Amino acid sequence: MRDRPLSRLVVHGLLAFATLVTVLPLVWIILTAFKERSEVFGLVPQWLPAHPTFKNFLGVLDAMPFWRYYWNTLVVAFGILAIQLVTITLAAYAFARMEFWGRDVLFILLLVQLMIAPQSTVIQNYLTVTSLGLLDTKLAIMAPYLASAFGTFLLRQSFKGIPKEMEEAAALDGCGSFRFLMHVAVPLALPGYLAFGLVSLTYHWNEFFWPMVVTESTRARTLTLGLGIFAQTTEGSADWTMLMAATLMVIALPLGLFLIFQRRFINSFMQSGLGG
Amino acid sequence: MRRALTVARPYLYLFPTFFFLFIFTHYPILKTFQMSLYKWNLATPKMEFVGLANYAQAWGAPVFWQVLGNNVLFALGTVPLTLVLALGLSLLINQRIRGMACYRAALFYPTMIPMAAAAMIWLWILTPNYGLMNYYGRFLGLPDIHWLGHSRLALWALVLVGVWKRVGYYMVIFLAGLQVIPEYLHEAAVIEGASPWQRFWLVTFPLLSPTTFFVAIMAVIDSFQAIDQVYLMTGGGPGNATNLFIFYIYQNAFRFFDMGYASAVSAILFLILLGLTVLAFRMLHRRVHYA
Amino acid sequence: MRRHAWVLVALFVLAVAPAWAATEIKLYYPVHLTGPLVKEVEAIVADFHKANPNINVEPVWGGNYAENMQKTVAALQAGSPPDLAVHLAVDLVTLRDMDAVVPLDEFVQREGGDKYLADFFPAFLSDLRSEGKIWAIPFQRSTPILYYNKDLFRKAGLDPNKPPTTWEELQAVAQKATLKNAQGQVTSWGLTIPDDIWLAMCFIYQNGGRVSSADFKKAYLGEKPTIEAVQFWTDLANKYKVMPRHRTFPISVQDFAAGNTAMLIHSTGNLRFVSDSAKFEWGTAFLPTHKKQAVAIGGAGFYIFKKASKEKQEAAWQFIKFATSPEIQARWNIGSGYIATRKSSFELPIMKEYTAKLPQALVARDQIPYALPEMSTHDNWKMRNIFVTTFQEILDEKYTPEEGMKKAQAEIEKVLAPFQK
Repeated sequence: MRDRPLSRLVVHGLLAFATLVTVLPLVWIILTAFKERSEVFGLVPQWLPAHPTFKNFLGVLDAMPFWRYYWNTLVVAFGILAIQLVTITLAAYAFARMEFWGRDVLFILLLVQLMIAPQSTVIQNYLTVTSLGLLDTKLAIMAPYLASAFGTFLLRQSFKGIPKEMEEAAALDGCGSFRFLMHVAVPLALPGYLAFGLVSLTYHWNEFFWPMVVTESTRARTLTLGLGIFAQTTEGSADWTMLMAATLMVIALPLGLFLIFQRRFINSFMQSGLGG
Repeated sequence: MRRALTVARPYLYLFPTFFFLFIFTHYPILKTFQMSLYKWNLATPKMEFVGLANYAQAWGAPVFWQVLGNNVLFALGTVPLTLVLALGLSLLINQRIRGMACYRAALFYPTMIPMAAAAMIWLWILTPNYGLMNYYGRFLGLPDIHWLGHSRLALWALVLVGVWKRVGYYMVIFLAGLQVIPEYLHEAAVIEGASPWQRFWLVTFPLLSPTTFFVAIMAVIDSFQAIDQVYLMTGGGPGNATNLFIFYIYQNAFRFFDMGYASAVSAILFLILLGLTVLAFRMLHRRVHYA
Repeated sequence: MRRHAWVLVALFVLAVAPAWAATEIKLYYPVHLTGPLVKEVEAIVADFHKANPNINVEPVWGGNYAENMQKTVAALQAGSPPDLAVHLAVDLVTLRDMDAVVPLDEFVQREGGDKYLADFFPAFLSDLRSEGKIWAIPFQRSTPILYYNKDLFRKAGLDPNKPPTTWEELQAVAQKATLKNAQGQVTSWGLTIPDDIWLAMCFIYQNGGRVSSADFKKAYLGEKPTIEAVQFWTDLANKYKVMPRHRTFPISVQDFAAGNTAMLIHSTGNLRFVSDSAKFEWGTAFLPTHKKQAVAIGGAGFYIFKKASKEKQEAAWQFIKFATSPEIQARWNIGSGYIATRKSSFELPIMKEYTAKLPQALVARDQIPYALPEMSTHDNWKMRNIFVTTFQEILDEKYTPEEGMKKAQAEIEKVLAPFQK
């Protein structure tokens, strides 16, 4: 593209405006979280807090078992990923490098999971989980996601890229299929794993609806859900400052990690587009 | 023995995935269709086969049509807007100008936060009287609007939140698609004397069409399964103005305890999603250009 | 070796036996107001345990009323319901339809029967009785009251000590208190009432109307007094324009506390919030009367579940007795804004001190003699949803009050049809 000062100005201008619209809400809630509860009810919004306070954050810790929720969320997100790594590795390898009867049909069956999100099958999954006695457990939150069509897709791309010659050479050396998978294919596909891992963790850290349906108590409740319930029960207490503080506390980790590892995260999500 | 293992191996590898897939994706879909043929609610505590009665109930229920209409409207509002903005932003960011990494991060970050958090943020901004939105609205001479309580505007408020949350993600997908387009094609177009606009329509856009198509499909399917912001911001109201499919299903199953009817509505949703996907792939074969 | 093993086992059994002797009961409770209330409930649970070390109550917070009900039903379907739960009075019918709860008459008889119940405000017991039995003990009850901003009254030229007492006065005062700017836009509303059928019921009762039958089988929304009451409400919003449309439950209270509305009709449960946040002089009053002085009772009580063993039911009853004792109810009232359900609570020193500092708190109690049960029918939540949705559509002028309420009545009758045996 030709480098003209005017067009550069226009580009910056448009991007700056878009950035403003995107970032301003975040800035606003950060500032709100440090204000006194009554400060926010004026008709003219004051940007900066008059007397910045940590009260709201302490109030949140007091009002909900925050660290419990944190722990639950960590277990759920990493637990899902751990098992997904196993299921997608095996499935992706099969689809990528093996010939077998019914491969195309099974592949389409895999596709279904991309089309029908867990929130649409919520009734039946809820009944299944209940009949297994898993209501209100972290396992229940994890269960529908242990197979991942998306992950299988992504990894299949990666595995497909391995030259056939490598596999044949390995076979000649007496390296069996499974060993080839574990010692050659997996290491070569590490970027794919990373990409998938970041997307999966982000998605499951941030989930709300399905955990909401299957949890009853703080035993399995996750952060996002805790935030949602916290908001729901403010009948008339209108504690905006505390709600914003809670919101900040919930997004702090993902956002913080994002700011540090921007490129990694963005690249991971980029790849999720090419899988389709 | 060796041969048996070789034949069985793919299926063994696929077993874990399809085990979970079957229990939590395929089985629920089938069971939903089955359960939709039964009455199971507070009046009928023991399941009773009623054939298509639940579907008839949906057909005759104004709220069902309202929900369908709302969801279509929601999709029509969200998808084109998100696509155009995402594409536009990706084109801007793709210019090799300083500061792109910053812009990109700033525009992408909403993807990293939960929709629930976005709902909280916008709930606060859209509050009447002292919400930020109304403050600037007053500047522009608008009356004080209670966005989420306004029967006509509430749905658009949800569209706004949806777009705000997703634009960054689709922008990044488009970016990936743009970066795959070989530079020499652009250069050739410049040499041929094409204007930037022409370059876009004749080179960029056609080559982006697989990406565009993919993004559009994902966006439409997503919009029919939107739930978090409905649940947290409006509860389907006022007067069912923001009631969307998943919320309607949730309401009937878990608030009114009418599992049979809720299953029927779920089944209808599956058919819609299936129909959309089939339609999309039909279009794929006709419209999309591959380099 | 074997002998040693048996000794160890025996010692182990002896060591944990006391723990085994403790009865564990699970309590599901909703919180419709924020944070500190969870602490309050947990404090009550902790104090109970101190007094009854052999009973362990596990409090499970299930969200707001609707969510908590959903959790209970979910648990019932899973076959592991709680032993004890706090649910709305209007949920009695659903719990009975699911045959989930036990009548409490035996327990009540042991405590002294009618003498025991006499200390509870009769209105709070009225909607927990059915089929000649009593099914729950009132725990968190409330009525709507009229909040008004004395400073805004003064500004509008109204007497700050004379809140409206009739519908006509309500309308007149609201009109005087509604302030507009040069462009004709409202800058301060005269009155705010959130879209809530609990509040709509008050107007229906005040107009001499009725809402549902005691046997939960019928609704009376198409009747003339009901339609007139709804007409009055919508006129306030659409004809006299003294009230904004579709303010939600929480937002309407914020409006009042921020000084944007001169009057508010809302639950007494917000007293604490208003008292903490309002920077102006404010008062509370009875809801205005029309054909009669009336108000709808809201709130919840303790239910004991059928599936709990006799032992757990006993333990649950002990907890109920504790949580609904005059002292605990007084504490609960002060900490939450719900009305203490025991008459004797108001005689206790802490209550006297509290009401001396905050006389506004007594209005809700004084209104109790005029309180009537909320609307409750089979398939209650579906019925409520139809009612509130139609109500909102009437406010939007999609239907006239008559058309809308008759339509709602017809839909509700369809829903109630299977229950007419």
